[in-house]
Amino acid sequence: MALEEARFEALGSSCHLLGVGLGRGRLSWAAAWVVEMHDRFSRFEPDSELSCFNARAGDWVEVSAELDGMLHAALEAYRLSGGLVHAGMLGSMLAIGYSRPLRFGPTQTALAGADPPPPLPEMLQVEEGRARLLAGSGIDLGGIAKGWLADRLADDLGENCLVNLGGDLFARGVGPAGDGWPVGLGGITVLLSDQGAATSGTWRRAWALGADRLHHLIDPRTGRPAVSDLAEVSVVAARAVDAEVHAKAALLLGSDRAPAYLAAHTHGWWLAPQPP
Amino acid sequence: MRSLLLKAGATVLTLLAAGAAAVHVSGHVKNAEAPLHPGVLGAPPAVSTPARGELTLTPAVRTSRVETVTSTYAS
Repeated sequence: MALEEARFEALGSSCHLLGVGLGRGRLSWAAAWVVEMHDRFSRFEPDSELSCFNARAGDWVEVSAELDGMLHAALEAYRLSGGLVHAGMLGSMLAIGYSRPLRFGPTQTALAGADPPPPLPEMLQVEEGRARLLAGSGIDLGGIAKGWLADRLADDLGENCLVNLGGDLFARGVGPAGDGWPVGLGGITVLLSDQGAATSGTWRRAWALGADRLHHLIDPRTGRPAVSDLAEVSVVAARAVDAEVHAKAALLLGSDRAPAYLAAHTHGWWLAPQPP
Repeated sequence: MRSLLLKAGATVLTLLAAGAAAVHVSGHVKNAEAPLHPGVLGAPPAVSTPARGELTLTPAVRTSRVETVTSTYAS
């Protein structure tokens, strides 16, 4: 059976869907679903469900099944990473000037407002069909949303498919040749089957502020852009969202502690140091 | 003499054009709010990874020489 694929822009990234033996129109349906998810869960869309949820911090708010799933994933990410992956970093994101898509450029920075947040379970409560944010706080689902959406879409798209949403991917089934989906990771080809992969790095979505270099990966221990001896970490794990969480946590841990952490949680990894 | 005058004229004209262009460009810096070019569809994502790195795989992941169909990357 032929390999079908679709490429498009959504979630602030390039998306790539592949499948073998999918029903007619499935890739078009899947691409439209991703675009709809972008509109509903982007913090840059003022009327998105996420923006409305952030705007009502302090109140219990009814949430859709998708937002409920992503909020639970955010809490699980916090738990799995020992607090290193923290979805409640919106205040820091705004403070460093990441208040709009970076293709428009960063806005005014106010680093004094970039403080470490309280623990996520103290900021975010999620119950059946509703959730509440601590007053004055906000969340940015970022990579957690991409990973969660990749997993969810792969579950629905077909038995032999690959969903890559901005580098967060899930490979379902045996791939086009029956021995796994050939995926590029760290400059080599790995064969993935019912596995996720993701990459976290500090060299993209980065910009200069005087002598300082700012980027989007915030360390919740400081509230500021992370300082790490690693420039990039790629991970293979059971699900895309797990790979996303562990790649980010490993980058924040640095090269000394990342290998032991990744050995306990993942199927494989690539660690790239900062350039000299 | 005529040739020298023509050369001098051309030089002056070139310098004036360059000066006018510089004034125009510095007075029209990039507008961040300007409409964007449409996203390019059908092209592969810009994938790049740092040149150096250390790869560790458990037995749950196999390597291959097959051409990749897609890649994980930082976005």
